Amino acid sequence: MSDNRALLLDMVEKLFTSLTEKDVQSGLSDEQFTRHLQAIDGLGLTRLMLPEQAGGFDGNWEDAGPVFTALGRHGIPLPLGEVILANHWLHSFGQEIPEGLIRFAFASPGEGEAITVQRDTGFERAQWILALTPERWLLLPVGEAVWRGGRDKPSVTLKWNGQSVHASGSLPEGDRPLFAEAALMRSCQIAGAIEAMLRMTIDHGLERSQFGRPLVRFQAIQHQLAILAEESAAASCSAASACQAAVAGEAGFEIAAAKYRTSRAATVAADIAHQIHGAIGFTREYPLHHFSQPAQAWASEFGNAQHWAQWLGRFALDARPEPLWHWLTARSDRVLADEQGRRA
Amino acid sequence: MTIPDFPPIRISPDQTPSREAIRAFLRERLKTVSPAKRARSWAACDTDFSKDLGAQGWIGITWPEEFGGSAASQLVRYRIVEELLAAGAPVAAHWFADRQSGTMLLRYASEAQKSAFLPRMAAGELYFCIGMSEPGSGSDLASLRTRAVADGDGWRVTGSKIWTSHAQHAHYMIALVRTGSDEEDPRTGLSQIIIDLSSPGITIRPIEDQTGDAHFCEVFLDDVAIPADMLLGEAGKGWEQVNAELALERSGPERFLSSHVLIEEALKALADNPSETLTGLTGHWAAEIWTLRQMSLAVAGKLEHDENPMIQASIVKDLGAQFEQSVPRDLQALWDDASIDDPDGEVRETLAYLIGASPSFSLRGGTREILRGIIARGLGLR
Repeated sequence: MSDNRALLLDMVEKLFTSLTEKDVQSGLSDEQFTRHLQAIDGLGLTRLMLPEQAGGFDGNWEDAGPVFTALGRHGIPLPLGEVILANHWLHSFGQEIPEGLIRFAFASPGEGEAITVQRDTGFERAQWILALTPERWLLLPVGEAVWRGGRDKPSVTLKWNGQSVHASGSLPEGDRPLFAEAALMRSCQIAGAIEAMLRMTIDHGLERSQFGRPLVRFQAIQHQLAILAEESAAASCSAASACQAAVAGEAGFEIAAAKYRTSRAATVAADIAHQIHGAIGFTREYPLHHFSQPAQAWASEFGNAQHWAQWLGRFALDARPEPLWHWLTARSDRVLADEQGRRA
Repeated sequence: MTIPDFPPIRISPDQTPSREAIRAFLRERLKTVSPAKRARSWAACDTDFSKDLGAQGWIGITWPEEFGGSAASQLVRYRIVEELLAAGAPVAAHWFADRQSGTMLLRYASEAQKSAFLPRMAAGELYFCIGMSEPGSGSDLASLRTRAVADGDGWRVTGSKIWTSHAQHAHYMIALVRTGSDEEDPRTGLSQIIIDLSSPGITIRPIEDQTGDAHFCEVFLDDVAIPADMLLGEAGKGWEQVNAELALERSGPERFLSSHVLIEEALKALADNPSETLTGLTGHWAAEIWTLRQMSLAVAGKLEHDENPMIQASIVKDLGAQFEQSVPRDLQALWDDASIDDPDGEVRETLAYLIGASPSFSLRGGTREILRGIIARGLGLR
């Protein structure tokens, strides 16, 4: 697949550009939502990370990462990344991928077949939930769920009877590696959204004049944009580096570090982008919020900065007495050696 | 508009010398040096150490063999340098020669000059310093006034340089001086010359900094005679040459490792279950170091491919300096005696030194404001 990466990314750019031209950003009816996703499915993009014999692109994380980044950069409000990961995981469980939209949810197991999921999973528009509990995965048809709790609550308990569990299995390594992959997807999306905010804010600063000169001629504005560019650089470099490490092998640390760094960058970038845009950037009509608001939501999803800081701190403390510098460079050397080995 | 890119490095450099070999050497050489001393690292001068390092072949390792190097990749040098800095080795004596003066000589010097200087630099015996800032010209470097006047075949130089790190230990200075007329654009008419610091007419006065160290100096030049062959590169091209030189000094691991000794010492001293805030701070450090190193390596990859990553280098330096400065401050703010076991006070001593030293991190090698101006220019804003 990686040989065809440029072709894939070219296709994705064209697709996302055409979706943006169809105004997907300003809200989608159920019918539009389904139609757009089906069109993307028809291109096979939802099977990006499946092997070729399973009808996929055989894409690894360095193929998927740029696609997720492009989703963030174009402000596409469709759960394509989520579907790509759900299909990827189902395939790795040896499970046939069902017809219809599937969403995954990290869920707390309840009594019997009940599970508790967050409302922001977006399962209402899906036909299937791939529920991931700390020990098991379950493929569940949304239509057969019995809802408990108010529909206005942030989390809801869904209950199925035993017959409606379409498939299930154990997760021998638990759900945390999958949670980390979801976090890496978000890191890439954040990096894309920040890049879009940077471009948009520079464009605005060049066009908008006050006191007789474009905003970008003010040193205070230049320095704020420099900081925004720095955060964009840190986000994109950390996300891309974590994808590179994920291709090489176990990448728990790199993914955690990237999600931490991108989550912090998201808020700094959104602050600066809004500040330089002024009131216009705060309007519904102006597209900045298609990037600034998701970026901050993504920062809090699949582990916020605090979650990953604690995880990373634990990781560094548990690695003692080996110095941090030693294991950090050893991991990095391994990634580069692995890549060299694959190229050879 | 071009957004500065940082593609992950994809080169696995030659494995000689290995990290293990470098670390074994450093363990032996630094075993009696206190953490607070090691925290000085590239601000600390130890000529014996530099000679030992030279004997290992680890200074100027990228230079051609005929000039004392091993023609190794820039990434091999990167590995050596980052290990030296992470361990807190006193590298200042040979630092500027290895990082930039050697490269400048390779680019611009005559064969005779290269043969005269480079092998002794690589041996860790010959030290260079960088004469850029002047009392009236700091960030506004192009306004400098030290002047070289043609005299027969050579030049006579009068003026003064300031904030010149380790001039008191150096044998030579590569100085940026005015050789053109005052009517020209201040950036034209500048040239780089190599000054023998033992020449008559030179006075070097170390300046004590607020930590009590005296690593930088004022250098007075009073009608100093410079032979013609000590012009570096082309007369009048000094500004261009200096800007290319600055790219060599803005993205290296010294831009995010200045507080690293404190991080390792704090980690050693932390209890098994420190407070949640200290655990989180540790996680923050690990993530930031990893990210900055990936960014710095991406720039090294660009240098290896002969690109000019001036904007990227400025981004690494600005983010790196902010991180280095945050480390002692954050640790001080979250210090919790129940979580930190520091019976000999070594962590506190290191912390106290870095609180004092850290303002310089965003001043040396281009201030934060100059860097942000360069980034803004790169984004097409000015």
